[in-house]
Amino acid sequence: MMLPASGGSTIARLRNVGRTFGTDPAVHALVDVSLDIAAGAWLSIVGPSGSGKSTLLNIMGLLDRPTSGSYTLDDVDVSRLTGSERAAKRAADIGFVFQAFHLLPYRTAVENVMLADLYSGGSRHDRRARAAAALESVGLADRLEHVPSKLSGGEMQRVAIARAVYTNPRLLLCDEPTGNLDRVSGEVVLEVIGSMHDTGLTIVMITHDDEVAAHAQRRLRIVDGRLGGPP
Amino acid sequence: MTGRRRHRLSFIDLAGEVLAGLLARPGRTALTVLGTVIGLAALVATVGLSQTAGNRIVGRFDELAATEIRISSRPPASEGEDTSIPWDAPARMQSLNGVVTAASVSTVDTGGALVSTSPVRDPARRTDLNLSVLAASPTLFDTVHARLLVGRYFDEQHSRRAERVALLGATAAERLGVASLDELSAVRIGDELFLVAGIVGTVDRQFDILGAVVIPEGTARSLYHLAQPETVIVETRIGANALIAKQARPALRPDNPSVLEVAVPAEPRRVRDAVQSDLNLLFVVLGLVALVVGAIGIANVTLVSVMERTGEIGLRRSLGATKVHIATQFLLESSTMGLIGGILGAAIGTSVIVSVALVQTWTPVLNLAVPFAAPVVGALIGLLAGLFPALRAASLEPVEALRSTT
Repeated sequence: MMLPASGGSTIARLRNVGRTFGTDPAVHALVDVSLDIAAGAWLSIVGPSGSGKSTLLNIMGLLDRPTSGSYTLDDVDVSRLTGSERAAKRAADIGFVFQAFHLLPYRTAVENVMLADLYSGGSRHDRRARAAAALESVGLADRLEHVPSKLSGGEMQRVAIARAVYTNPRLLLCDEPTGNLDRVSGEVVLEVIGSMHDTGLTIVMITHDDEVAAHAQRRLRIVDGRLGGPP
Repeated sequence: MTGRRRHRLSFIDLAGEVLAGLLARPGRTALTVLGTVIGLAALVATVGLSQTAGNRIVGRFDELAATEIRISSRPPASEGEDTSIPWDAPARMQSLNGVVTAASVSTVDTGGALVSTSPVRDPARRTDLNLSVLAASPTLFDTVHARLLVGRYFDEQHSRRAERVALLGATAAERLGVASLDELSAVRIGDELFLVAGIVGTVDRQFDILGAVVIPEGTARSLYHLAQPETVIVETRIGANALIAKQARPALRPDNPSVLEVAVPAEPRRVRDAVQSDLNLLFVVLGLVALVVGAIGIANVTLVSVMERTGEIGLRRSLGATKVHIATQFLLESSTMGLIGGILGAAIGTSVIVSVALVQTWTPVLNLAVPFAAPVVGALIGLLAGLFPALRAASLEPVEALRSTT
């Protein structure tokens, strides 16, 4: 089914996207997914584990390629891009927040944020200042020189959010951002994501938790690789 | 701000990442580097020690061999050709600039006469010995650096008057039972009686003197009809060897230089190379084995590191790193470990050479290229060792890598 954007210009456009793994037996992780994501939207996709929501997010984040259909990001048909062109686009336009945080254990919070600049070509001279500002925007101004092992789970995820938005991406992709957090920390993280949305950032968040999904402006359900309407 | 920004990893950023990666686990990095350190230290030290030891051996060769020339006559090409060396050969050679001393020495044909100390033949006990008899110019003892145990050398006067005097080599004297000259000692060569003037204890060249009876040339001429000197031994100044070798034949036989043969010892340089290549081979093989072990160590640890950092690799890919970025980072990490190993190995190896030389009071000798080559070799080994792990890291699929929780 076709799900048009809820208004404004469209950043991402998926048309009849399918993703099949293996051949014998073939696993259809995504089936005929079509979706428009409007600029400035906050979309959550809810589904149980194995429903294909991570596959969908990986395709939107250019970490994976669909086996059928087309995906247009900022009016660029990304299925035609080479590996390194896709890497460049990831660096420039996409921010990721993972359930497992993926912070480098031996680097301080500010160094972890600065890592995002390595591949996106940000200028070196104000790198630390910009990273500090990003950490301030997630409420971690007093944790700049802390290594991850000295941070709580919620703080680690906020460092990850700072790293994701540090390069001013067009699209922020959140994969179960509260999955490893207790309720209170999760709420804080969702508030931070909400504040990012308030600055105009387009956000796609996948989760299995309806309460978490409720924070988003727009909700979609995915079951067995097929996208459905609002839950 | 879309995809227009430059997309390349600057070298400074990359170097920073490599350094941070190595320093994240300093203990492990140090242990990994240790293999290369040991390998290259062993290689530098063994090459240096063999050069140092080789230099010492050559030092001895140089002193004697590089200052010695022997002249003899070749067999006559045709009946009646005069190939003889003149009797005044030592004097002629000594007049050349660059000659220290010169002497002539010949084996005397005594017609099979035996040498003994007793005039009485004792059938029960064998006192007659078959010793070689040498005839020499009085300068011989200087030329071979002889040192006397007792007595004195014969001189020009003894030779001119064909006196029956003889010097005994230390071994010959021992066999004959002559220990001192307190009583007037004499030896009998066949039926001719010779007064023993002295006993030669040691020589530096022409070692057959020690087992022989040496009589003056003049005596040999009149008594045994010695026709011509057999060999002329020349000691030259250091560096004059080649020159004197060239001048010897025209100096002794200006009429027909080609009848003489001049023997010059092998070039010192060649001697040195021959000695060192033998010594080096074993040492170099040992060092190479240590290096291979070091390389395997780096490869192993880099591979473990890649597996441990799978999550980090996934993250970097999600941040926009290409496969080349990932491979470059791991290759540079392994090369840096090899480079550090090479620098430390060169320093330690050089210290070992200097220490050993100090203890042995040798002069430390080391080709300067060796300690500078060690870091280059180390880096290359690191690069090779990192090749497989780096390719493996680059080939990880970002989605798979991100699933790792590390």
